[in-house]
Amino acid sequence: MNSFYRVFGIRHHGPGSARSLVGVLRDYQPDFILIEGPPEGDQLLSWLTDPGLQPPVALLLYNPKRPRQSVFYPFAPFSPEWQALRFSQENQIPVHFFDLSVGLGMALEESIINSESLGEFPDEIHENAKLVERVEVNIPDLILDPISWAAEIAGYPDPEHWWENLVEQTHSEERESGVFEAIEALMGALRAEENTSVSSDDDRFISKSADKRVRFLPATSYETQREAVMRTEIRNVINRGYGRVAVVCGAWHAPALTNVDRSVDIDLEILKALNSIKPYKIEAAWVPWDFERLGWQSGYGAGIESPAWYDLLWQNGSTRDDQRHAVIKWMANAALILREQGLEGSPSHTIEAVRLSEVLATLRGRSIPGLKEMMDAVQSVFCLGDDLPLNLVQRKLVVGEKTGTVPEGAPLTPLQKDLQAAAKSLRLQLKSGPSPLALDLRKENDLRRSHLLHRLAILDIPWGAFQVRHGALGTFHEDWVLDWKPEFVVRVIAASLLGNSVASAASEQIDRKTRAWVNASETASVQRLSDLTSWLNDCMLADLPDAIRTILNTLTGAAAQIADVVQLMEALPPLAGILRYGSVRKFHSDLIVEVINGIAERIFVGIQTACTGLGDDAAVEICGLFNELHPALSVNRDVFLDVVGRDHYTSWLDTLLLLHSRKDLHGLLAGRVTRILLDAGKLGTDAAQDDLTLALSLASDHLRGSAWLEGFLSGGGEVLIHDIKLMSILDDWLVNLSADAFNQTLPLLRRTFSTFTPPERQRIGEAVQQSGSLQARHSNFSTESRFDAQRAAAVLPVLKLLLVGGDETI
Amino acid sequence: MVETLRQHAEQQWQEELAELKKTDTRQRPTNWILSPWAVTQFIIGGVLDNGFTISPKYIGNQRLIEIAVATLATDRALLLLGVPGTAKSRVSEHLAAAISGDSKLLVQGTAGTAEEAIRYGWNYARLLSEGPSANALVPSPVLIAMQEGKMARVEELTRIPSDVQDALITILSEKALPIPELNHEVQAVKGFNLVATANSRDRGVNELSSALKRRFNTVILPLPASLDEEVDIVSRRVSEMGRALELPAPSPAVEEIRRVVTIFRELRAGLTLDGKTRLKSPSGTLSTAEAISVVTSGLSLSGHFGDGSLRATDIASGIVGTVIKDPVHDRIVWQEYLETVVKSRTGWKDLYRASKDILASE
Repeated sequence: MNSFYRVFGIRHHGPGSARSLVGVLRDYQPDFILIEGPPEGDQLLSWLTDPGLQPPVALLLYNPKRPRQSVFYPFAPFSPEWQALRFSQENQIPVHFFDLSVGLGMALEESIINSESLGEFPDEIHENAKLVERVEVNIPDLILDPISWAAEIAGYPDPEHWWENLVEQTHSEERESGVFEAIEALMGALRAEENTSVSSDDDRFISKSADKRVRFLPATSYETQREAVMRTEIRNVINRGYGRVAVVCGAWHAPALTNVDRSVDIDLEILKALNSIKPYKIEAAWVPWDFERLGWQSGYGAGIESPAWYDLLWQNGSTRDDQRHAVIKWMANAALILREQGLEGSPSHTIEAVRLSEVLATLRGRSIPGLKEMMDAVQSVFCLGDDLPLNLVQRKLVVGEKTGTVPEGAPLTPLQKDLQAAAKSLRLQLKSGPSPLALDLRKENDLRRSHLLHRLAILDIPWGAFQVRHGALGTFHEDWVLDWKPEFVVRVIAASLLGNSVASAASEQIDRKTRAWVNASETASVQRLSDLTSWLNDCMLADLPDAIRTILNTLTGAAAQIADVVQLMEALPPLAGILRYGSVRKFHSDLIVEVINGIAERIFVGIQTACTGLGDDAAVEICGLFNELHPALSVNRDVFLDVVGRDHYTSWLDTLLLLHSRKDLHGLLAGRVTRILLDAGKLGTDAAQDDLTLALSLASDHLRGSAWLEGFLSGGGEVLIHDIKLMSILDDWLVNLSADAFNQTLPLLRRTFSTFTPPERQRIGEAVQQSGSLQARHSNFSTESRFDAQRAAAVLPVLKLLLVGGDETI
Repeated sequence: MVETLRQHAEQQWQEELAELKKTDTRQRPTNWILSPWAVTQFIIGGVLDNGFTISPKYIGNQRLIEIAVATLATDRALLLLGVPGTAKSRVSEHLAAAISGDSKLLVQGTAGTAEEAIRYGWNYARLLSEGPSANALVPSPVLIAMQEGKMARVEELTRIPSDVQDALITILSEKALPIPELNHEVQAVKGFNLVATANSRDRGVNELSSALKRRFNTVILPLPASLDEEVDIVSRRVSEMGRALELPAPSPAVEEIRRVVTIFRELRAGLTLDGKTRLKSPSGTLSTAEAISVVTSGLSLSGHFGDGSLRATDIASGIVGTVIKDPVHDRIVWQEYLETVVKSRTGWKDLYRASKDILASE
C-alpha cells in the first residue's frame, strides 16, 4: 500500500459504507480528502458550513448555454460522499472533487457524437437526439453499482446486508479498513473478469448497441479517461506535499487508483489527448433534492430504491441491537401508516410482524431482517396476504418523502433565477399558505401574472390554483389561489432541464407532449384531438406563441387525417373558445381561424353519416356535442363576423335543417335539432308545434317520443320557466290534445318531466299559474266556468247537518 | 399389505424425508422433524449436498413457502388463501408431513362441522356407564395435535359456521383447551401449530371474525403465473398420479397438456394468450387442479379404450365436462370459443372436431 494515500472504495448512497468510511477516516486522520465528483463543484463547497444546506441535496452542473445538458450529483445524509464532505468541514481538512470535469465530459461526448453520422444534422435536432440518448444510456449495472451485484452473487438481495456481513467477517485489527481492502480485492477480481470479456467480445458490444448509439461503447474508454484524470489528481496532491490523502471513490474505481506510480506514462498520454478538447463552460448550483428522485440515475450511477429505509439504517448505528431496533421502529411506523388508512395495525400485529420477519431472516440465512423480509411480514400479518396496501408502505417507508433545503443566497439555476425575477417584477411573493389573487386581464400587469401562472401550470408547478368562478363575470377576470410549497423547488429543478426561462421551458414541455402525441398516433394507437385542443388552450392562456404554432400545425395535419366526426366536433368548441379569448389576450387569431375552417367544413360534410343509426348512448354524446357546437359557432359569428363567422354559422344551420328533414334521426337528436332551429328563428312556432305533435302522436314509438321531448326540452326545467315562447308552444299543444290523446300521452310527458328536480317542477307550476296569458286561456277549461253556484248551494244544508249535527245553536 | 389408493404425503415421500433428515444439520424447533430450511427444500425441491434430488411439491414462488414455514416456526397459525385448485391443501399436507411427519390430523370444514370436530366429543356409551372421565373423551384431531406437539390441519375454514370457527380462538391464543367436564385442561406441547386453508372465492360464506383473523398469518397462493409454469405443474402431477393409479398409458404428451392448459388459461382470463381476442369466461374456476384431472382422465381413456397415446378425442370430453358447468351459459361460452379460437388455430383441427362431436352427441 502506498504510504502517502489510501483509497476507500464505497457504495454510492450506501449507509453501511458511509458508516465504515466515517470510522476509517477518524482512524486515518487524513490531511487532504479527494472525493469522486465534478471539480466544478469545488466552488460550492463553502456552502457546506451553512446550516441552511440540508440533505437530500444535489449538485447540479449545467451548460448555461444549453440548460438541457446537465448532470445531477445527489447527496443523501447517508451518502458516503456527503459524510466525507462533512468530515472535512468539521475537521477543517482541504477537500477536492477529483473526477474528470463535467465540462470536458460533455465536450467529449459531443465530439464522439459529432464524429459519428449525427454531424450533418442541424444543431437543434442534434441536441434532441442527444437528449433521447441520455435517457437510453445503459451502462451495465456492474459498473454502476458493483456492490449490489456482488451482494446478489453472494445471495443477498439487500446490498446493505452484505456490507454489514462483510464488516462482521473481516476480523482485521482495523476492522473498518479491512472492509475496504476486501472490497478492493473483490473489485480487482471483477475488473479482471470484465476486461477479458470486453476485449474478446468487442464486436458483440458494437453490434448490440449500434442502433441505440449508446454511450457505453466509448464509455469503456471514457472510464479509462476518468481514472487517468483521478490518478493524476492524486499525484498532484501528493506532490503538493500532503502525506495522508484519503481518496473516496466508487468501489469500481478503487483498484485502478491504488497504485498511481505504475501508470504515469499512460496517464500522460491520455491527458495529452484530453487537452486537445476544449471543455464547456459549466455552472454549478446546490439544488434541493428529495428521496423519490434519489431513485433516478445520476452522476453517481444507478439510483437507489429504498432511501427511507437507508436513512433509518444510517440513523440507527451499526451494532446488531441498533439494527434490530431499526426493524422494530420501521414496523411500528408501518402499523401507524396502515392504521391511518383504516386498516388493522395493532401493537400485537407489530409484534407478530417483527417476529415473522426475524424467523424469515433466519430461514433465509441472514442475521437481521432486511427490507424484503419486513415487506413479506407486513403483507402476511397486516394485509392478510393482500399486496395492495403494501404500496402505501412502499411509498412512505421505503422510498420516503424527505426533501432537502438549500440556503438562501446560494447560486441558483437559470430557471429559478428567471422565476424569481418574474415573480419580483410582477410583485408576487413565493410564500406558502393560500392567498387569493384576482386578476383583471385588461391590465397589462395582471395579464402577465396570469401568463406566468399558466406557464407554471404547464410545467406541473401548481403554485397557483385556478378557481372556477360561478356566475361568470366576463372573460377578462381570473381568480387564483397562490400557495408556494417548498417542495416545488424540486419541480423547478426538474423543469430546468427543459429551458432557461419559464416561457421557454413551458414551450418545450408542450413541444414534447405534441411530439409524443404525433408519435403515438403514428403507431396506430388512438389519440384524441381534444388532447391537442386542450393543450392549445393552455398555451393560449400562457401566451406561448411558439408552442401555439406547433400545436396548430399538428392540429391541421391531424384534423385532415381523422375520419371520426365526433372527435372533430369535440375539438371545435375549445378552439372557438380560444378565439373568443383572443381579443382579450391580444392574440392574432388568423391561424386558429384557418384550423377552425378546416375542421368545421369536415364536420358539415361528415355529420349526416355520423348521425345515422345511432344507439342511445351515442345519441346522448352527439346531442351534448351539438349543445357545445351551437353556441361556439353562434358566438363567434358576432365576434369574428368578417373572418369565419357568417359562413359557418349559416352552413351549420343549413346542416341542421337537412338533419331536421330526415325521418330516421334518433329521437333525442331530432328534438334537439328542432329546438335549436326554433331558437335560431329558422323554424316557425307552428312548424315546431307540428313537429311536437308528430313526435308524440300515438302511432309513433313511445320511446322515440319521450327521447324527442327530452331533446327538445333539454337544458332542464329552468328553460321552461324562463322561456315563455317554449312554454306556450308546449301549452298550446297540450291544450289542443283531445281528452283521449291526453291520457295516452301523459305517461310520456311524465317520463320527461320526472327528470326535472322537484323544485324545478314546482316553479314550472308556479309559472303556469302566474302567467296571465296562460291563465286566460285556461279559463275556458277551468272548472270555474262550469260551476253552478245554485246547485252547489243546495248541498250546504246537508253538509252542515253532517258536520255539525242537528244542534242549531252552534 | 393392502395397497392404498392414495398414500399420505409422509408415506409417498418417505425416502426424500429420510434423506433430508440425514443431511439437515440446521437447528430444528422443538418437535419438528426437519429444520425450517429443510422443510422449504422439501416443498420447493432441489439437490441436496449428497447429490440426492428432492422433487418439487409446489411449483411457484419460493418466497411464499418461506413465509409459510417461517410463520409456523413462530407460534402463529397459518392461513392459506386462494381460489380453488391453487394447491392450498397440497401445500398444507406437505407442510404437515415435513414438519411433524404426520399429515393425518385433519379437520375437514363443511357447513355441518360441529364444535366436537375441533375440540372434543364423548363416547356416549362410556359416558353413561362411567360418567365423565378421560376414557370417555373422544379427542379431535386438533386436540391430538396439541397433545403430541404436531401440526393440525383445518381444510376449508370459511365453510365452517362462524360460532364453531371461534372455538379455535382459545386454542390459538392460549395454546390450551379447557375441558370443564373433567375440570382439566390440555396444554399444547411445543411443536403444535395449525394450518388452515380457505377458498378466497367463498370468503363471504362464513367470514372469519377479526379476533380469529388476527391469530393467523395469511399467505395467498396465486394461480400459476405463466403458461410454462402451469404446463410444468400439470405434467408433473399427471405422471405422479399416473404411477399411483397404474394407468396403462405412456407418459403424457406435453403438447396435449399444453393445449389443455392454454384453453384453461385463456378462458380463465377472458383473453387469448396473444392478447388479441376477448372471450367470455365460464362460471367454473378452471383451476390447475381441474386441468390435471382432465389430463389424467384423458390418459385413462386412451389407455383403456384408445390406441394408447393421448389424442384430442381423449381430452375433449374432459375439457367439455369441466368448462360446461352451467348447461346454458357455459355452453354458449364454449361454442363461441370453439368457433372463434379453436377452429382457426393451426394444428387444433382434431380438437375442434372432437369437441363438435361431443357437443352434437349431447
